[in-house]
Amino acid sequence: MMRMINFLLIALMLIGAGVVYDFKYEAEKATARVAKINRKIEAERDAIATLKAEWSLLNQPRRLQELTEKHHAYLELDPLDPTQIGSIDDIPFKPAVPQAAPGAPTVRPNGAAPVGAQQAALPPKSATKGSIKLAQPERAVEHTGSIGKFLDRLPSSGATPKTTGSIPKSGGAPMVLAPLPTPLPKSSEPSRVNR
Amino acid sequence: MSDEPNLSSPELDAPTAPPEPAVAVETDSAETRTARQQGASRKRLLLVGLGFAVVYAAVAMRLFSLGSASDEHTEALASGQTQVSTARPDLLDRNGEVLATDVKSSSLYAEPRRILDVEEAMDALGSVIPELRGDEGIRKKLSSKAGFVWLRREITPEQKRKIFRLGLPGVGFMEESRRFYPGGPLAGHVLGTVDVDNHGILGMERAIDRDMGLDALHAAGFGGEREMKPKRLSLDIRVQHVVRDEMAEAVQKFHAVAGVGIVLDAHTLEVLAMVSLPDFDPNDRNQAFLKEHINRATLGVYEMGSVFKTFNSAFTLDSGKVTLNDVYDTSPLSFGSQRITDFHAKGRPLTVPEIFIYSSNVGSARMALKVGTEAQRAFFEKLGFHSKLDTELPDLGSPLYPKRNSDVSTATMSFGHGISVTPMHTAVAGAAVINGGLYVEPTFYPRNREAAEAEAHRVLKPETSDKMRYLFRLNATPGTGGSGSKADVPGYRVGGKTGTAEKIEHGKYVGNKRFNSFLAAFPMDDPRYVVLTVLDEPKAELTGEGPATAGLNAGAAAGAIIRRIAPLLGVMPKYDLPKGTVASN
Repeated sequence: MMRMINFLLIALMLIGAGVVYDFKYEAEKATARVAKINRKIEAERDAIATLKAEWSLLNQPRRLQELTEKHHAYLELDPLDPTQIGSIDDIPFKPAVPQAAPGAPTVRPNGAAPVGAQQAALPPKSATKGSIKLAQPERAVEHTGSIGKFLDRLPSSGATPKTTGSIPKSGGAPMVLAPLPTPLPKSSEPSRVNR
Repeated sequence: MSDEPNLSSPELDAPTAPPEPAVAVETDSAETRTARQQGASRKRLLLVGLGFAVVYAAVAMRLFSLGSASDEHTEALASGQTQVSTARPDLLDRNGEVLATDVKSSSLYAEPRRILDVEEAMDALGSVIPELRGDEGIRKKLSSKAGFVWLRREITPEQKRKIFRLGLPGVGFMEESRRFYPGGPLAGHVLGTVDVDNHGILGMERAIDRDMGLDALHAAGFGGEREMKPKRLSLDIRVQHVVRDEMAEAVQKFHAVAGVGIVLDAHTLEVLAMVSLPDFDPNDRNQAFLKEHINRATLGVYEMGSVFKTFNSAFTLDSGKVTLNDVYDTSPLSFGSQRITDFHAKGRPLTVPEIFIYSSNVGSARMALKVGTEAQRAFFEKLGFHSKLDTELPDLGSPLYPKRNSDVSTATMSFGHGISVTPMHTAVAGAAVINGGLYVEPTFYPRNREAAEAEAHRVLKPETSDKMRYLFRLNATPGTGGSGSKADVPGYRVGGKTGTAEKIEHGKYVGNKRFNSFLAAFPMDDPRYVVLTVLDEPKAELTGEGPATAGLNAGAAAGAIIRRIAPLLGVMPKYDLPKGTVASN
């Protein structure tokens, strides 16, 4: 009996020693890991600080100005002219237009419609149709240059990108001011501009 | 030795005690024998015990000595750590763009006591950093018995790598924070700079140390603390860039000695941009204290010239003794030997708006004299022209003004001579004149309008401010003959006043050396921003139209600045405004 208890106690002691050793070992490992992670955090923080500094270095207005001046031929970015600024109230409402022929495809207002056809189809008088006039620039501002370039870069897949610039009809799609990059599935008929 | 058995015997006896009684009861002879045996074994035990005691005592003493003795190495490191650069809060502009930040850099140190061979160390270090080769100071440092010496602060990562690979004992690196200004010279005069220990020594860096008590914190040994909240300034990096760009161009174009550009929010008096050219790159702290790099915007004081007609018109109109319809004689005015004449003499009496737009010295002097010396002095004092500005920046200049009042000084001060103030004083006073008559001290920290109004004091009636807006706009409207018409930007309703002061050299005014300024505000129907441009000694353009007057250079620069910053600041252009909408007289 005594022996049993002794053996049991010895076994318990061994197990206890093992467990304690394991705990200690684990704790040491964990401490080492914490230290390692702390060092990593520190290194990451320093890296973030350095990257932030670099980001602001690259985004310096002076640098951006130099770059736009250097690459002006391609970017065509110019300082903003006061005449180019307007509010949404300055944009005239689309005048009421008699409904186009019933068979015609969805009405498409002027905008960045087919790049090639646009120039031909857009009557110059449409600029003066609105009830409120935007400030008239002294010289004609070429607005279509950049957007044309933008459209050139879009994947060309036969159909043309759609732009809606008018008040949406009830039940229609919500107004989108930017050209949609993915061409909508359309009928194969050549599109027409209704102005 | 003799008393030791007494000391240890009770302990050593204890284990052997139990068998004793059992043996003792047997026989006398056995008793004596065992006693002898006992004595012998006791001696042996004592000896062994003594041996152990000595060993344990030695171990304990060594432990104690190890525990209490300070470690030279860690001590040396700790002394270095307290010298290491303080962490500083990042500085951001009002939109959160970084103006100044801390980046890590390594510094090289040595622990001379641990260096084995000084000559070898010198050779090795010299192979990486040539400047260290043959440096007697470094050799002396290494040969000393000091615990810690700096060899070189802020070495490059490449040098660090190479020295690390040399594997020199007693040479190590310490990570330090180093201040970095991504904008370079963009806002040098506002930000200031720091010394090698990252203490602010100029500009807002200095102000932040003062305000946050970083100096005291560092002295108490809390230098390396991280996670300091970034400080936001009122500057707008974009506006600052535009002002610097345009002023640099104007300085170059007109061969000016110096230029100053200031943009203030008219209501909160936040400084959106402040440029003083020539300026310096705060990353190179040696540039900061060069004489030509002084802060001309807040430290330099100048006779601002005709810009002061703004303040003259304001206080005379405010007194009610002068109205916009009054007419004044502009024939030269004499005080003893001194004569006041007009630069652009019209040869006829002028109305108050005409005096303003044709910048008539004589007319302004007569207006000031009509209202009185005392009133002018009181008004200038309210506008802060008699004291340093009360703002965060440490480098502030004290205005120079006549201590006693006289009619001559009143007359000359009416057109900005005989009183010297900083350009910032002028811009702040200009804001007070057109923002409805509230004077607020400028600030370099963001502030909202309520906070500004809480500190404001009224210097003009709102009606007077309306009249001043009218005069400002009139002066900058093309076609009226106003001196500021070059500054107009279609759509942004610019208003302004030119100032062409002649500079004093050897106690005399020199006609061909001018100090030109333009005080502008926009949009004039509800002024939101004040722009002040100053050019020191501009020369006429070779292809230019006439002399180097302020309207042609400082005014044009102000116009160019407004054209570019107005869209950034969200000022909507308007065209249909009738010419005289702001006139209320």
